[in-house]
Amino acid sequence: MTSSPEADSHSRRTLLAAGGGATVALLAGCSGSKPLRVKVRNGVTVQSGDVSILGALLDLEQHAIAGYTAGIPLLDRPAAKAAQQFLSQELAHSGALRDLIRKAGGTPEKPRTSYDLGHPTTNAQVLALLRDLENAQLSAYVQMIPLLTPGRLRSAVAAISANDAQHLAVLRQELGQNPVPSAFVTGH
Amino acid sequence: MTRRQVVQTGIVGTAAAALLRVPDAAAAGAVAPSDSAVLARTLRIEQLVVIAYERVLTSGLLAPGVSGQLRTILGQEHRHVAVLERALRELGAALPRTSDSAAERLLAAHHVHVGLGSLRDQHDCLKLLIDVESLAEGAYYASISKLSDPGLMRTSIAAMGCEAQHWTLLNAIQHPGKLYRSVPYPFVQGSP
Repeated sequence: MTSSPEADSHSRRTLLAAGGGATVALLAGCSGSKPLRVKVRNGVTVQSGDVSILGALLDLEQHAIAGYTAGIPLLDRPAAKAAQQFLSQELAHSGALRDLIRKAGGTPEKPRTSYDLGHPTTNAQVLALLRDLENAQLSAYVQMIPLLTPGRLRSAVAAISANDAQHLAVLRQELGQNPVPSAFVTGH
Repeated sequence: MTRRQVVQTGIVGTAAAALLRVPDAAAAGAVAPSDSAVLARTLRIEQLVVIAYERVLTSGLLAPGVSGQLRTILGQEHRHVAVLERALRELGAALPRTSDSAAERLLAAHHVHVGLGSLRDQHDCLKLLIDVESLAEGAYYASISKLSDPGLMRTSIAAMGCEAQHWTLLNAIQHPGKLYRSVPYPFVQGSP
């Protein structure tokens, strides 16, 4: 599965269909999270040196967004409903990170034209892909947040990471795995 | 002196005291708290969390399946306590101890309305645990902005993620089938 424009027409159709849903979800996510997003945007100082770190985290969020967008049409109904909610939250994360990058005087990168999502076809394979994408994000957050300079910026970004940890717990549960296998969520 | 005079004097006195305190407060605000002070605050909250789980697990109010899940979570809370204690020892700091009565006061101070001694059913138990998990999330959220050691920051970020997962699991037990209540917000800050 890929979100590349070069992908086969079926994948592209499903991606576009999911993209429509994502737009709706984005609006819902923004309206639901506006006070927090405004808080992130207005209450945190960001230094220019933090832009590259925030950019790397944004790239991972966009990768996850591509995974959810392409994967949702392949999921069974209960899992699809959860994934739709998580997609809206990933979009809110992406929006917050973009705001922070702009606040530091940077320009957030647009999503890449394609992401390697493998070739999942079953419900379990898509859930495993989404679990792996969440783990990749969590690993990056744990490693990179301490590199951010202002303390309040670190906490603001940790608030995103903790939500991704919640996604991971639900995805693991949907896969029949222990939802909280470790006392420390490191993405490994 | 009339009652009104007493009250007015009191107000003036309070205002004057506040003004006099300003330089100290400003100076205190300029100095970042030490890592040991930040960790000690987080440890007090983690000790409260452990006390709450132990009280709930011995209440006799839980369904058997729920008890098993909560015991697993309690084991992870003990891990958090152990790691925080080790870090404090390495910093040469004294370890705080939270008694049951101190835990009750801490709950009241944080406006947690279900007390340790007022549990009536499983719903109350889960409500209490969800509230203390929020406090733990909030403690780590605050600590991540204040710690200076990157290793301690990473530990706090990883523990905060685990507390957020506990929160989600508890809400899933409390409100089965209502995912929007288990993962409701894109930003997890916990309770201050």
